[in-house]
Amino acid sequence: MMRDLFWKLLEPEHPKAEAFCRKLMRNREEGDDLYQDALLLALRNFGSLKDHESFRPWLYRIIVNGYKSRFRRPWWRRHATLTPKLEETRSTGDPDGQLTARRWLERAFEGLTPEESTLVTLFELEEWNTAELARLYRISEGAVRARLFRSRRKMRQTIDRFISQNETSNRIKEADYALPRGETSSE
Amino acid sequence: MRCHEAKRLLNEGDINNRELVKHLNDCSDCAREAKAAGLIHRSLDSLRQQDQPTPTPFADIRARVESHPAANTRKESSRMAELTHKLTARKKLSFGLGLAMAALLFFTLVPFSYDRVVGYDLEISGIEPGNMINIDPVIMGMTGLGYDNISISTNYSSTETSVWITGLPHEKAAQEASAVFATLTGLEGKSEYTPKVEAVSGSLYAQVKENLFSVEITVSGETPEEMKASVEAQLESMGMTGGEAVVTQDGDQMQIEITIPGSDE
Repeated sequence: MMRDLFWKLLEPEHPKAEAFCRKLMRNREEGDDLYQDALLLALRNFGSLKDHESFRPWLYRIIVNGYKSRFRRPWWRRHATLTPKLEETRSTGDPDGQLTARRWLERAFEGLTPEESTLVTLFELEEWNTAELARLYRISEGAVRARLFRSRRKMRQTIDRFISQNETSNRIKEADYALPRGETSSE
Repeated sequence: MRCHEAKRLLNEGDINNRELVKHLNDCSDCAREAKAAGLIHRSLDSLRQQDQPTPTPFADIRARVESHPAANTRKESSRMAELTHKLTARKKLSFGLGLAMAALLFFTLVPFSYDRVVGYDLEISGIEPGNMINIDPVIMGMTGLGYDNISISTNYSSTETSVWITGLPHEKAAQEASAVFATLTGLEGKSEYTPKVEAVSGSLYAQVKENLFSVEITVSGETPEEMKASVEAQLESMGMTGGEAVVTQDGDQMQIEITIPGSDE
């Protein structure tokens, strides 16, 4: 009975939650592993969820915690999961610069903690608003905005450092800046 | 426009602001950061517009998870893992436990210098001059009372004779020594007890422990009067002269109140 309810509540969330895991891990296989682990944990502990209205933030909290725990693993286990980052991008093909976009974002995310990575991914790519994020992280909206501010600054500084280090040695080509021009975003 | 204002606008994504553009032409640092902001901005836009990969069919993911062995068994975790999990989840509890641990370590390990009474000296002054004092009977008398390590010295002057008895373990011994001296020599003087203090180093726990004392009380087969006498005798033997025990009995209930002079207990 409880299991049926779990699957019923998960069904509308499934596509986005799975896509979120893939984006977090920057790799389809790793993302699917993260999603499956999160679902197993969620299914086992579904009985502890009193308010079914809170299913979505509860599920995402499990995903975010699972993602963070992967970074708490010893380095030899972590290395194995984080190396094949660009695999998915290569397989999809990306003539319009999406590969380049992914590369720049990966570099920018390198400057962030796992917590900040999940926050930026949810806000910028999954279009969660600050109220939803505040509920997920159990902090105030002001604290969410402050964390986003710090995360964006860190991302800019990481890219800035990368450009400074590599432009002088001509290791960045003009094509690396050739990103598709999109609509103005909130960044 | 100053750099911090420019960076705030960059952070808010207001990259087409006129003042900002003007500032970027003049400031190479901010221009570099603006370039980085632009790259991130366009990269995010690009990924937002990218087609989402096809999700795994819901029925497939359900079947996969349901058939997984871990879906049907609760993972056994060690007690330590459970404790760690609980402490991680309850930050206030972890903080409280950490604080308690720090206080316990401070209480038991950090040494402090403090004074400790290690014995008493007795000075009997104002004895009439001209009398030679035979101290041997006094030493024998005190040894008979169980005080083996005392030493006695005398000072004769033209105006008075004084006697010092040292090595007395507690105040009661000093009182007894005064009485023994008066009885066995037949001389009288003014007795003064001086505590001998030494500075020692020890933890707060050691200090508290030194000030603790225990009294054994036999309840069965003894009348309240016998219990009172037993407690007072033990207090006396520990040097707590004047200690008083009040034993009251009300049916099955028995209450013992111990009062020691010089304390609030």
